[in-house]
Amino acid sequence: MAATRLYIPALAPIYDKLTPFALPILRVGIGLILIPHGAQKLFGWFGGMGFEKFVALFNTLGYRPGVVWVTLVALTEFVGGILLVLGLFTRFAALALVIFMIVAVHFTSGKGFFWTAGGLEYSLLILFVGLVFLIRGGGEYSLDRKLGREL
Amino acid sequence: MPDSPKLLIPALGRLYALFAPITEPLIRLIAGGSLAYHGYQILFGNIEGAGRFFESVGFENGLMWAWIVGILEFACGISLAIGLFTRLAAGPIIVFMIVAIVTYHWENGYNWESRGIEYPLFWAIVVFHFLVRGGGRWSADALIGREI
Repeated sequence: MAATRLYIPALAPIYDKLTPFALPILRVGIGLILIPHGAQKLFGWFGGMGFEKFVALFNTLGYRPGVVWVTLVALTEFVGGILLVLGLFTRFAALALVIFMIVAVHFTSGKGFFWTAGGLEYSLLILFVGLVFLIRGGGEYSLDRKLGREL
Repeated sequence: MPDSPKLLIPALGRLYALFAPITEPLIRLIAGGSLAYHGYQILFGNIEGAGRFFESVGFENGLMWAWIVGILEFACGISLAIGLFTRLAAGPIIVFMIVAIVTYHWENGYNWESRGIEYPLFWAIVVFHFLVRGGGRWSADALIGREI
């Protein structure tokens, strides 16, 4: 990529030093924000209502059988979140997340765009950040990189 | 990247290489565009209502804050979306997200459904990427050839 010149060249060493961490921070970030959601569903942690009540909720929302959907969603959030943090099987986790978020965008679109009204914007941002790691894989500071193999 | 892992399905490598350059511009566009839409809503929607909201959550002179937040969201959001003065826009957005979390979202807990911290936190993390990386490909900064 043709490098852009900096208005303040003195900043270049800072940018250069931080650059290898930029995508790993994003990967760890998206993983960490997902984990509480999965734990709320699987274990009732983080003030969640637990598996049984989520199953009932999903059934009333029309995602039947609720047991299957809650299990899939919670594993995507909890296990997928951990895998993204570690950068292990990154593209598997990202693929599951992207599929989940396509459904989530569709579901939340019923309430419009703005998140403050329950709209789709948050799911949309997660979807596209998930896409980054579906395309790019684990990258630097990932277990995938350590293992030397990935999807 | 010389030390890239071997792919289990090598044929997918071409697909990855094809799409890799557009992934980051896309999240810049989404993160900035969404923020600009929030600012648009305040500035051109109902600024008095936004002012009353800020007063209700403890900001004196709510209308002034509505203008500040609206302009920040709209201008920095567009700037981030098109990648113009990217880092200059990213800084204020991150500060704004932290202030929003501390002064308002924190007491709403974690979940986004109850206006908790997770979305502003994630937004800040995404924008931090561009504070470090700048506009990158497909940005106005790259077009101009100079950036902060």
